[in-house]
Amino acid sequence: MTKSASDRTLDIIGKGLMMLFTTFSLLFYLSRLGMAQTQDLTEMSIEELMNIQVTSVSKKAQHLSDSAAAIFVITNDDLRKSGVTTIADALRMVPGLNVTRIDSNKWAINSRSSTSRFSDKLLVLMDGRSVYTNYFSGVYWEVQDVMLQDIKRIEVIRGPGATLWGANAVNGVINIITKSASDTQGAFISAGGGSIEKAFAEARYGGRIGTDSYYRVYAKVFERGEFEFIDGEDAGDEWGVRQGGFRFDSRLNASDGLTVQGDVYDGDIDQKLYLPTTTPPFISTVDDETDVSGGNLLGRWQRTFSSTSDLTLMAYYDRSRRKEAWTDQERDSFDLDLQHHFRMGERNNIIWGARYYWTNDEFGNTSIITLDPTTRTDELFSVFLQDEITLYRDRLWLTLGSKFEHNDYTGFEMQPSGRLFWAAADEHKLWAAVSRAVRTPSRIESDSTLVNDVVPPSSSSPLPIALTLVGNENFEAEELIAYELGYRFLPDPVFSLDLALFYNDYDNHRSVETGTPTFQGTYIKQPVNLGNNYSTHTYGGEAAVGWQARNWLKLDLAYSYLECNFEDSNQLGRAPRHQISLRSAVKLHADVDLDVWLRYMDDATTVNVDDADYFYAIDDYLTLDLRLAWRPIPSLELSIAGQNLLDSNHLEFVQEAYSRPTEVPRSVYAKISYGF
Amino acid sequence: MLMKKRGHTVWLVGRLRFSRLLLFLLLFCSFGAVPASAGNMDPAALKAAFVLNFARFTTWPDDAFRDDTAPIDLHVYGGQKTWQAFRNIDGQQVGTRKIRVRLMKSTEMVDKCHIMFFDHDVDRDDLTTALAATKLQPVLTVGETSNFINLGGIINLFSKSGRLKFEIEPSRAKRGGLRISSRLLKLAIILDD
Repeated sequence: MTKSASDRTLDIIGKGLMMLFTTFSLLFYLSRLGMAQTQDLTEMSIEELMNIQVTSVSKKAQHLSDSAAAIFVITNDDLRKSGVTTIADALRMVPGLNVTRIDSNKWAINSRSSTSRFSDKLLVLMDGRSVYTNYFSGVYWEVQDVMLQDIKRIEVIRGPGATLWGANAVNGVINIITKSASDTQGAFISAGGGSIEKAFAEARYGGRIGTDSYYRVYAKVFERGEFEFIDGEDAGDEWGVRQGGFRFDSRLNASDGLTVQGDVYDGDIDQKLYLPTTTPPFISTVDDETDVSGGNLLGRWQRTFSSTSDLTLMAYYDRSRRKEAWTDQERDSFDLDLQHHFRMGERNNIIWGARYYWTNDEFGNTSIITLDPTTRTDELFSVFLQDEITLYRDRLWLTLGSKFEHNDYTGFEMQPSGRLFWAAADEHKLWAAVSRAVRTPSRIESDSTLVNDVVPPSSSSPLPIALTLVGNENFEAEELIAYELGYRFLPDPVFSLDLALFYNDYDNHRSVETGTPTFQGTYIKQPVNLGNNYSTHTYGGEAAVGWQARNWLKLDLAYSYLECNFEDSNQLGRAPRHQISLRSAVKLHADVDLDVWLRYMDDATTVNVDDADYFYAIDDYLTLDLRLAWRPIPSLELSIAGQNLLDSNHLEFVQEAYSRPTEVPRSVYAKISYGF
Repeated sequence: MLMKKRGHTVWLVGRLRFSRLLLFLLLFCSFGAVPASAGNMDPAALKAAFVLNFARFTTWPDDAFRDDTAPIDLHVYGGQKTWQAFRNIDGQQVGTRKIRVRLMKSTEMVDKCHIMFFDHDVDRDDLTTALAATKLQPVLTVGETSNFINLGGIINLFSKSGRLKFEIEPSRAKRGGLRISSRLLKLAIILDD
């Protein structure tokens, strides 16, 4: 974007907002006449009291500060104040996460590690539904969406969570948790637009059925604009998704609760692909229009036997479809999950569970990728048991547990962990953990033939050479043993410090070996065979500081240090060493918020087949987001947000193949939200 | 660090505009502060409201009171926050009676009372002693610790999925001569010996 264009955008938005402010100033004064009084609890019926939410700040803090894992929570308030429009971008505030945007519609995200769009070890769940795809062991972040307004919190655990969540929760687990329908009552609408966020609108309505059942329905649409390639050319990556869904929560009786929810989406995602071919000019440029669609239906039944015993049964069905120039896929999954928690005696807090997962895929082969077989059904069975043992009351706990699972790729896997938590004093808490987690092979690793690149004819070879990744049915699970230490300092309710250190020992990691070239008539096929012959270790630490400095100023600092270099595997690059996120939320007035978010990301490298030395060097960058919001009446919010303001463009990541480096531009948007 | 000059100047221009906007906003908003909304619910206040409701759905034997208008004595054991919250229900009407709240420092002086509330900070040994002393007495004991019922309490409050729930041991209440209304029992998780 040029200087004058961005200037104009700001100007137009500024003027528009001033007009809006003038209009709504009247509402502002009217609103002061009818301020809602504080609810008097003593006048409420017991049924009403039972519907009041009790997750107060202190309660949440306590829950977090007492967990023997590196956990960070993004609250609904954090989401709103950050000004982000996607779940992926919100994760930038989490220490230890390596979040990069590849282009307008793609992200590469990992925890405590080098990142990649196609191979990470990060498990992501939305209300308990796994959105991790077995196709390439990653997440299609661009289609993981919901109304951000309805997200209760995002819990991010760095480090293995495999004992509870199973395989692929290796580098971390992200749990996206939406609000209960009883907490999203009434109507809410929001709309806006700007430079990259071309236009967006969302609406939700929540109501009550009878005395104890609640529902909500929602719909959202957006159109996002294109970014630019590093040389300034348009990247052709604009996109739009339409999504809708519902959630129903019912308290059947005193001890039983039922949740049924579902979503459907349909989107058009544009991208400019550079696909290798074995005929001149050996590369074909495709203006691809990717069709994505999907849906899910989930039911959860929860029975509370007593304050010390409860059972949850969850089942869901998920379907997704994605058709782009180089890959065409359909997937259906079904999951049945049971969890039982109970206290045994004074000392033991036990949780155990069982899971059955079924998934079926269907691929259409392309010139780039062929799968054999094209259709495959996989099943997974697992059980886990974990016991939190009180060694010394209110002071010392030991948590031991393991997952035992069987999958169709590597058979039986065991993923144990041991965690020790010591509340040395109310304000000093320490924990240590050792755990094992595995990543099971993806469909690509097991069954595919994938053309990575074609080297045009040269003096050394008169025929083009097709570098072809050849899947390996005997590919084994990658393994991690993680050693972690943590310390939390909570001197008073307005300040918290959370430190975590880790040492990760990776073994059996993916490696590649060049196979014997074969003559294919018009070209030479150079197989690249997958193996499990790489091992390495990484280490680092993270610090998160939260400080309510004044009643009008809240500061949140996240710092990450990471020594992580996978370059020798030729599969991943080197991760950024230093990473800083500093958020400050300023309450200029009871109704006016100013949110400032400064981020620094150190330089890194990433695998890129088009680069002469196979790795692309990514420079460090510093950037800033700003958001200004005004609520003329409590139910109405007007806001403007600027993202990546310090620079017209910066590069965050380059996809391994089929693409060109695409920069993230400065952008700005305005938004109006109204709830009634 | 990366900061291309061109980008930097644009940012300055942007900031100038933002500051003008800000000034405009401040002028608009400085006419008077609107009181902040209720904000987060104080869990202790919510628990006090629950206890008030428990009193409304409990019938004590006639000889537990001097006369028809004698107050219901509620003894509260716990920390400052709990005391503050329960002070707010002092004097609340329950049928023909009023709640009379007494904030207790220690369980040693177990005076005659009708309801006892113990918050989670109460010492385990004190709790055990107090619950043993009220066994078979018409005293409604309410707590909020996971083993409260095991130690001999009647109603235990706990949070589940972000809501407060309560479990009741009705037979224990009956033995003490208390009658708990079916409306309350319907909302409770019933535990049997």
